[in-house]
Amino acid sequence: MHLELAAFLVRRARLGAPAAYDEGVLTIDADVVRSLVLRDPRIAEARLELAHPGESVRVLRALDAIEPLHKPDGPARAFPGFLGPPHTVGHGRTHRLDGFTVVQVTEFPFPASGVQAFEEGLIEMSGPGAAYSGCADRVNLLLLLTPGPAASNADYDDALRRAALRVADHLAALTVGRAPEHVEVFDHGGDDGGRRRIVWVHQVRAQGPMVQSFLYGHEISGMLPTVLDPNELLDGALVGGNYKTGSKTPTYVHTRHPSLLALAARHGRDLHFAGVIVARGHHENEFMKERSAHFVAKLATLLRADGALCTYEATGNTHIDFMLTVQALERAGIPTASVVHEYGGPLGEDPPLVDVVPEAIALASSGGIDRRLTLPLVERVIGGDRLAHRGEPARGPLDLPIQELYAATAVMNARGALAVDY
Amino acid sequence: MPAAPWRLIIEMRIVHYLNQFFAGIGGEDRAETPPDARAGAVGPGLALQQLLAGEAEIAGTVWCGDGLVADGPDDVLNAIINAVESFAPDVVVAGPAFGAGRYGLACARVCAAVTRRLGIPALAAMAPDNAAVELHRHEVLIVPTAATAIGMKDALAAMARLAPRLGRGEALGPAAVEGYLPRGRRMNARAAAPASERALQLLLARLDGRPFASEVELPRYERIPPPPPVTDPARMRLALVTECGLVPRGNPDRLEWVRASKWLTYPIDGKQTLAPGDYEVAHGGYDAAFAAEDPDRLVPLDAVRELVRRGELGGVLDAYYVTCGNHGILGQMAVHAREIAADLRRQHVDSVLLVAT
Amino acid sequence: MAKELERAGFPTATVTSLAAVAVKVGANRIVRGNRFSHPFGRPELPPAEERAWRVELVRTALRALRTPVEGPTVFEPPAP
Repeated sequence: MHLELAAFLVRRARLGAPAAYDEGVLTIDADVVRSLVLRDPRIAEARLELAHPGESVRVLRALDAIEPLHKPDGPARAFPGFLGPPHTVGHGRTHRLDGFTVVQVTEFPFPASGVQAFEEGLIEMSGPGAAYSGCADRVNLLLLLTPGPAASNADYDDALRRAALRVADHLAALTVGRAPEHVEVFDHGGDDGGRRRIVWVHQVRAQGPMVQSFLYGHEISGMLPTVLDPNELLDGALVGGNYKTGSKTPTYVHTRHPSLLALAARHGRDLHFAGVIVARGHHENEFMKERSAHFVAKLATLLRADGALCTYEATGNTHIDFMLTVQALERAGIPTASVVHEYGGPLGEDPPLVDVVPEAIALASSGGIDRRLTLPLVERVIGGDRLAHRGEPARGPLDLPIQELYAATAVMNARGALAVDY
Repeated sequence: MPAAPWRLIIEMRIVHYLNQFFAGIGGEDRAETPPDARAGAVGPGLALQQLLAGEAEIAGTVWCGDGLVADGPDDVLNAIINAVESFAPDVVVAGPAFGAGRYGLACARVCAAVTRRLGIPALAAMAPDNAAVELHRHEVLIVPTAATAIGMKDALAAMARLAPRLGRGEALGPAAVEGYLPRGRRMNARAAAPASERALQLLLARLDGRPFASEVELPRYERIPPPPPVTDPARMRLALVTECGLVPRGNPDRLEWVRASKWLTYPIDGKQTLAPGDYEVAHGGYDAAFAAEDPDRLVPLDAVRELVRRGELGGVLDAYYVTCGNHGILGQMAVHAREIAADLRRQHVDSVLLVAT
Repeated sequence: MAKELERAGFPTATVTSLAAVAVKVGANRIVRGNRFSHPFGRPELPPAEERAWRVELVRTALRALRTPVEGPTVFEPPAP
């Protein structure tokens, strides 16, 4: 599949009319955006806020963050299964708003406990937390939503996801007719020319409502591991609905993952990017974990992989799913290298990993997520007055572990964070 | 150019600890040499002083026989510490002990005591596989050396490099950068490339057959000898302990469901079963719906009562213990377990049913 | 937590759905429970059968407690 991804950089956004994209400035018509959101009666009200890098702003109650994509030539649409039919994407032309995200900010209408309970994840636009916080390095449109008559949290979640994707598509469509900053070409087909065939194993979270991922518009809790062309991810085939914050992968990371970029950059030179194997983690028992792990190894074998780059989302017992997968690959004769985030406590004195297998001999660290940060008092807080899980006043100052920052694990990978011995 | 009429006073003071051999007293036969001290540098300290040049002065040298310090009485260590203190050092250096086990232990003990009791920074030098390293590296800064005195020059150079910085109160950077042995702390730093890119580089190195270094070492788990079995469960008192975060409805004691900081007990005497609606789950890592329908699915009180009734089990403690295993910091969980164990002992419990999640 | 309880001398039956992890970590008496969210539950069974199964699982734990072991050992409950 051949995809041309045209990047339109957003340096600043402002509210105004008419909506337009011009020379790095995105003008957002609030009435248009609100009417797109409120099309769905499950959402009662929507307010818009903007947050720019460097501002003294802290955002609470953030759910997903989406980098807008739009395919200017029909019929295929970005974020297939949501904005259009669930047909294969990853070809043709796509416009993306580089450096911009649409973020839903909201509380859930029904109480929830256990894994479905909301965990706060702060977006820090400046200060010491910004280096570890998703969305800190980009311009953000925050959709502050009030639930309407939704039947359940999952029902409301469906509404807010579709609303944000509608808004993302509308905003990215403003670039049609404009000249992009640059155009990247992604094409991983053709002969491998004897180059090493490398797959990317992308384990994502799918335990149920609020801790879920969506592939072509449908949740993946029942999914066996499957194979995608990397381009499908670039076009938004995989959408994040996992709200377990520090360890979540927001959609804007799924559509531009450091693993995909690392492999794509070398494709055709010192390796052949042989495909992406997407699998869910957090299986309920060992039987299901092993079943999935072996499926991944089998798919990699069918793809004639010479090696596998492995990453995973989330934490807790999903480490076991991941390590069983690494083990199955290694025992199938496919060497692996993985990115792991570390624990270790506030001083890094405890064991760094929850679970390992002896075969996991090539690990890159994305840093210790439970080291602590002190966040300063900020001028403006968006999304609430108090942190959802502890009730502290949100303006600060705050003392908390890194994993309470929004999408911290993904950010730490992209920014080169790692834990080193002292 | 005429010589300056003044002499530079070096402000930083170092005390050097040696054993009986390097102090020039004797070998293994003099291992019981009592502690002693002298102003200025002694033995390898002379070369060390040269390397330190004008940066620091070896104000005094303290030595003692290895046989006394490594596993000797405390008053020997006290005497050594007093001697060290009398020179008013800014930093203490010990060794290099190379591969000598008892000398290494002595150096580590002295350094640990100096820092703990006098608040003075200290560093020891010895071979990485010296027995003292595994025992003391968490509390003592250790610089690696060769296995024998062939490596004396390099060992002294490393000590001269780091000691003044410690004396100035500087925080040191990572172990690999500064050249000391990891002390078991991992802190965050920043690499030039994303972790995914670095992992890909590791993978390509593996496929090429080139050497590669994993950024995270695999742990080695400590083995605990299994406690002897219970002889007769019909006479046994069992305690129920769970990591599953099951608490009375309303979570009255606010058990945190991530990184729980405490453990709690809740009464079960008089109950034949755990009733739905009376309990909830304070655990963020799994779906609580099944447990909500019947909390016995997490803490099997109904089954335990049944077995007591049938005479297969002597009895169960009148309360269950709960904490939350979600993202539990491992060191913290161990502390909870130790405290619970102490509580169990007080209540004459024979065995435990632990529900781990 | 199992290792600390054992270190304190208590014979401990660790019931978990993740028996392989418990083996790796080094708990000595391990009983394989059902799913992560309900180790002592089998909600697909009628209540009376589920309870009977649960009694069997606790019996397996008692069996583990009275069995001498050399190192990490997994005790399986009777097949459902």
